[in-house]
Amino acid sequence: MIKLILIIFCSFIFSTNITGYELAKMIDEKKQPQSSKSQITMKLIDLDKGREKTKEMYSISKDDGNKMLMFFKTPKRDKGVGFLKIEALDTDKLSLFIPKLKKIRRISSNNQSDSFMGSDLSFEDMLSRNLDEFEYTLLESDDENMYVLQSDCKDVDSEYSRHISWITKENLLIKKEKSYDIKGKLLKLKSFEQIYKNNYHIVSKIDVTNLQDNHQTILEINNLEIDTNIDDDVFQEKNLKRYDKFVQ
Amino acid sequence: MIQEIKNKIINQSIHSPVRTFIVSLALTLFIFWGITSFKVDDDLVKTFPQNLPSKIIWDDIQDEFGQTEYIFVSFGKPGESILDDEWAIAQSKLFTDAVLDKVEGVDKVISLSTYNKIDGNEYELDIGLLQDESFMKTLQFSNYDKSDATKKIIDDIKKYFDKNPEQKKRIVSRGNDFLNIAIRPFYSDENDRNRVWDFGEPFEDANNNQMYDNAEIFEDMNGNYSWDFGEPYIDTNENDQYDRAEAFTDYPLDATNYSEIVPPIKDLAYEYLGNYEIHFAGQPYLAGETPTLIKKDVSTLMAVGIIIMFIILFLNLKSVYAVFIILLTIICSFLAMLGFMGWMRYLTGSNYFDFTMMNTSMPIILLTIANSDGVHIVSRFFRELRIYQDRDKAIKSTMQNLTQPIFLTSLTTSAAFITMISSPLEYMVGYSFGIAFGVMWALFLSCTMLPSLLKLKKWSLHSKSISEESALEKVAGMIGKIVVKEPKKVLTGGLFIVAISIIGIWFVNVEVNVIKFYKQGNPIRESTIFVDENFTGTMNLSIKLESEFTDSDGLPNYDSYLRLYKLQEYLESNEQISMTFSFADVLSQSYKAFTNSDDDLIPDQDALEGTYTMLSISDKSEIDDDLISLLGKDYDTDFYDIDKMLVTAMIKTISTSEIQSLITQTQDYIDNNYNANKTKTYISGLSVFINDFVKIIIQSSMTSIFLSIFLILIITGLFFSSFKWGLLSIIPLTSAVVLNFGLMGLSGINLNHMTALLSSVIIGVGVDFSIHYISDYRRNLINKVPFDQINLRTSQDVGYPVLLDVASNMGFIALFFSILIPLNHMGGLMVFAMISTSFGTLTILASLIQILKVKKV
Repeated sequence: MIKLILIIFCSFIFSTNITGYELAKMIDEKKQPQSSKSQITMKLIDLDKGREKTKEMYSISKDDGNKMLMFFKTPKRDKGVGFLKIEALDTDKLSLFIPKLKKIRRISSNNQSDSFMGSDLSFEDMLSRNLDEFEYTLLESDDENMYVLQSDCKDVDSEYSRHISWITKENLLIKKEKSYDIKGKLLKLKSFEQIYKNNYHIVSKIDVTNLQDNHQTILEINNLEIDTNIDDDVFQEKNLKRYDKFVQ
Repeated sequence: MIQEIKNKIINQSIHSPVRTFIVSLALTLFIFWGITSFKVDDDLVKTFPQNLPSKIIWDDIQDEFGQTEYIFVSFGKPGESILDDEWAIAQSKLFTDAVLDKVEGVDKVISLSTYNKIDGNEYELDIGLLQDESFMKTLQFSNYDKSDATKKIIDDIKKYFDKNPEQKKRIVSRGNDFLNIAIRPFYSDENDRNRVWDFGEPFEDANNNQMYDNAEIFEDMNGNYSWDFGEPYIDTNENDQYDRAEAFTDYPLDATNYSEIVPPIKDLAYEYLGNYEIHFAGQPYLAGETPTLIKKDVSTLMAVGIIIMFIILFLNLKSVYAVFIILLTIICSFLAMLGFMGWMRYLTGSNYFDFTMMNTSMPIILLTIANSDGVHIVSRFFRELRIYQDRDKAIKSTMQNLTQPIFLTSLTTSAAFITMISSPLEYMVGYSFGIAFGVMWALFLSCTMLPSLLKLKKWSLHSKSISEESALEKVAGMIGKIVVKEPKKVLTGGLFIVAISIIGIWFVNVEVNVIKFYKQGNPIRESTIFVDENFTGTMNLSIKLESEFTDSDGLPNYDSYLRLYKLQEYLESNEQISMTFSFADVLSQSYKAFTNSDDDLIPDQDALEGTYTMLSISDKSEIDDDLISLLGKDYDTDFYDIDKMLVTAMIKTISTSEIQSLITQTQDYIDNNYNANKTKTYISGLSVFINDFVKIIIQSSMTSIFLSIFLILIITGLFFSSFKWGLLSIIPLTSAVVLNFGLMGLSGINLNHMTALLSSVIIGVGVDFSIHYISDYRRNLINKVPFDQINLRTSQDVGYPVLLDVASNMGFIALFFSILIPLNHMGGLMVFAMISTSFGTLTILASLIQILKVKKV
C-alpha cells in the first residue's frame, strides 16, 4: 500500500514540469552510504590494438564518497600505489603515492584532466560534480521512463563542455552518459549499473569508452561493505604509505 | 640477303635523298611524339630497390616509428643571442605553423614552439609544450622592451635548457645565436598509398546510438576526387546538421618525394625568416635538392659541351654543313630515345621508363655514341670523296665500308646496355632499353638520314674539307707509322701504362654521401657543415632493438634499461655522434624531473618501476608522437608491454667509409653486450641504405661491364666467324676499363653511382673503336691490300675518325664547371674514357695485330 502511494506520489511529482536544475539537485541529494569498503576490478581495453589489462584495487570511502583512500593490489608493478581524495567546498585534494619512488604526487586543478591510472576516467571524473558549476537543461526523451539531462559546464578548467545523462524516472539512477570535450566533440560514453543494497542504490559497474582514443575501461565493484565504522584519520596523506595496514 | 638490304638502303639515300630524309625525320618525330607520355620524376627514393635488406629494415622502422629523417632549417644572426630576440622566437612559430599548414607531405615540425618538455617538481610531472602557448599574445608591438609575460616565458625556456643542455643542443646552436627547426616529412610506402575516406564525425541515430557517417568518395566530372556531405543527422539541439566528411589520402601523395617538399619549405623560410641568416640541411633536403641541381647543371653544361663539340668538329671537318648533319643525327637520336621512353611508359604503364636522377647520364652517353657513328661516316666520306672525286661513289663506298661495322658496334653497344637489366634496380630497365633504342636509332639515322643529307649537298672538291688532310688525320697517320715500325715497343709501352693503372684500382674509393657531391665552399655543403657543427648533426643512425623490455606483469627489466643506457653512452663516446635518444631518455628525464635528481641514470629496479608507473599515470597526450617515434605506433600507453625500442644516434656528416665503420663498431658492441637470442637488433637510416643502394648500382655496373665484355666477345666472334677476332676486339676494351678505374684511383675520383654508370660508356665507345679497326683491317685483307701496308692504311682510315670522335668529345670538359663534384668527375672520366679507348685501339690492338701478323680473315 505504501509502495502504491509512493508510486502515485512520484508520478504526480514527475508529471509536473521540473527543471533541469531541480532534477540535478534531486540526484545530488539522493541518500548515499556514509561509508564503504570495496574491492574494485578495473579492466582497461585498447579497442584498436585489442590489448586488455586488469588492475585490482581496494577502496575505502566516507562522507558520500567525498573522502576516499584507494590502493592498487595488482598488477605487480603498481602494487601499493595509493590514491587519496578529500573533497571540500573550497578546494579538493588529490594525491597519488608511488611506493617505488617513495614519492607523493599531488594532482593540481590544472592536471585534473589527466587519466586516472591509465584508465579512461580522469581525476575530474573521480570528483563529485558541484551542482552550481553546471547549467542544466532537460531534453526531450524518447523513453518515457527516462529523463535526458543536459549539463553544460561553466568551469573553464574542466575537460568537458557538456554532459548528457539518461536518468531513470523511477529511482533517479544515471544509466548512461555522454560527455563532450571543450570543442564540443563527443569524448566519452559512460554506462552505469547499480545494485540495491541496504536501502541504497549503489553503483556496481561503470563502463567508460573514450571515443577519441578508442579505449575502454570497465570498473566492477565487489565485496561491498556499507556503513562500516571508518575513522576520519584514515584519510591522511601519511596513510598512502601504509598499504599493508589497510589491504590484507 | 644482308648485302641486298644494305645496298637497298644505300641506294635509297643516293637516289631518293629527299624522300629518305623526310621519311627518317618523320619516323623520328613520330617516335618523339611519345614525349607526351614522358615523365620526369625527381623522386630519388622511388628508384631504390625494394628488396634491399637495409631498405626493408628502413621501411620497417619508418612504418613502425615514423619517418626518422629530418630537413633542418636553422636561422639566426651570428653573435646575437637568439633566445633574447622575441621576434625570432615569434617568426620561428609562424614559420612552423606555416610549414604544417601549407606544405603537403610534412608530418611534424620540431621547433621551439612545438618542443615538448618533461619537467616538474617533487609533486608533479609536467609534460607539455616548452614554449607557453600564450607567447604570441604577450608580444608588445609598440614597445622595444619585452612585456613581463614574454620575459617570463623566455626565462622559463632558458631555465629548462640550462637544466637540460642535451635537449638544448637540438634547438639552440652552441653559440646561442641560431635556432634549429627540424621538419619531418611523412613516411609513405609507394605501395600503400591509397585514397581513403574518413568516417566523418560521429553522430547519433534516432535510437541514440553512436553512429559514424560512412561518407562515400567519388570522382567528379573533371576527374577530381571529391566527397559527399554524408548523411544528415540531428544534433543535440535538434538542429539539422550535416556531417561533412572529408576525403583524404592516407598520406599525401609523393610524400617521400623530397624534391616536392623542399622548394615550398625554402620559400616559406625566406618569407618568414628572411631577416636572418638561414641554413638548410638534412638528408631529405639533400636528396630533394641534388637531383634538381644535377639536372640543371647537366642541361646547361651539356649545351656548352655541344657547342665545344661543334667547334672541334668544325675545326677538323672545316664544313659547317658536315658538323650540322652530325649534330642533327645526334639530336634526332636523342629525341627518339626520349620519345621511346614516353611510348614505353604509355604502352606498358610502367614507371620504370620515367626519367629519374639515375637517367641523368643518358644524354651524355647517347651523345658520345651517336657522335661516333656520324664522325666515322662523314670523315670517311671526305676521304672517299678525295679518292673518288665523285659524291655518289664516295657515299656508296663509305656506306659499303661502314654499314657493317656501325651495325655491329650499335648491336654490341645495345647488348652491353641491355645487360644492365640484370641489375637489382628495377629502374635500370628503362635506362638500358632507352639507351639501347637510342643507339639503334642512331644507327638507323646514320644509315639513312646522314647519307641522304651528304647526297643533298653539292660538295666542292676543292674545298679545304675535301682537298686537305686535317691535323688529326696527320696524327692518325703518324700513329699508324709508329705502330707499324715499332709494334713491340708500342705494345710494351701500352701494356706498361695499363699495368701501372692497375695499381690505381686498389685506391678506388666509394663515396656516396650526397654532401660530398658538393665542392668545399658551396653554400649547400657549408650549410650542412654549419648545422653539423652548431647542432646535433644532420644524419642519423636508427637502431631498432627487439626484446622483452617488460615481463608478463609489466615489470620493466632494469638490466635492459641499463644496457640501453650504456649503448647510448657507448655511441656518444664516438666523436662522430653528437647525441642519441631513446625511451631510456624519457624515463631518465621523468625520473630526474620528479625526484629532483641530477643523475641521468635511474639507480635501481624499484626506481625504474616507479618511473614506469608515474609515467603511465601521467598525461602523455602532448608527447604521444614522440613516444611513437621511440616505441612504435602500437606502443602500450601504460608501458606494460614493451617489446621494441628505437635508438636514434644523431651524427655529423661523415664519409661512406666512416658510416660503414660506425655501423660495424655499433654492431660489434651490440653483439658483445646483447644476447642475440633475447635481443634482435636492426641498424638502418637513410644514409645507410642510400649507401647500400649506390653500392648495388656500382656492383651491378661492374657485373654489367664483365657481362658486356663477354657478350661482345661472343657477338664479334660470331660476326667475324672467328674467336680470335672476338678476343682481339675486347683487348682494347678491357685495357680501357682497367685504365679508367686505375685513373680514378690514382686521381682521387670517387666511385659513385654516376661514375660507375659512366664506366659503361667506355664499353660502348671502346668496342666501337676496336670493331671499326678490325672491320677495316679485315676488309683490307679481303681487298688484297699488300700485307705490310694493311695496318698503316687501317690506322689512317680508322685512326682519323677515332681521333676526331675523341677530340669532339672533349666538349665534356664543360662538366668541370659544375658545382657538383660527380659531374666534374663525369666530365673528366668522359674525356679520359675517350682517350683510353682510342689508346687501347690505336696502340695495343694495332700493335698486337702487327706483331701477331694476322693474315686470316
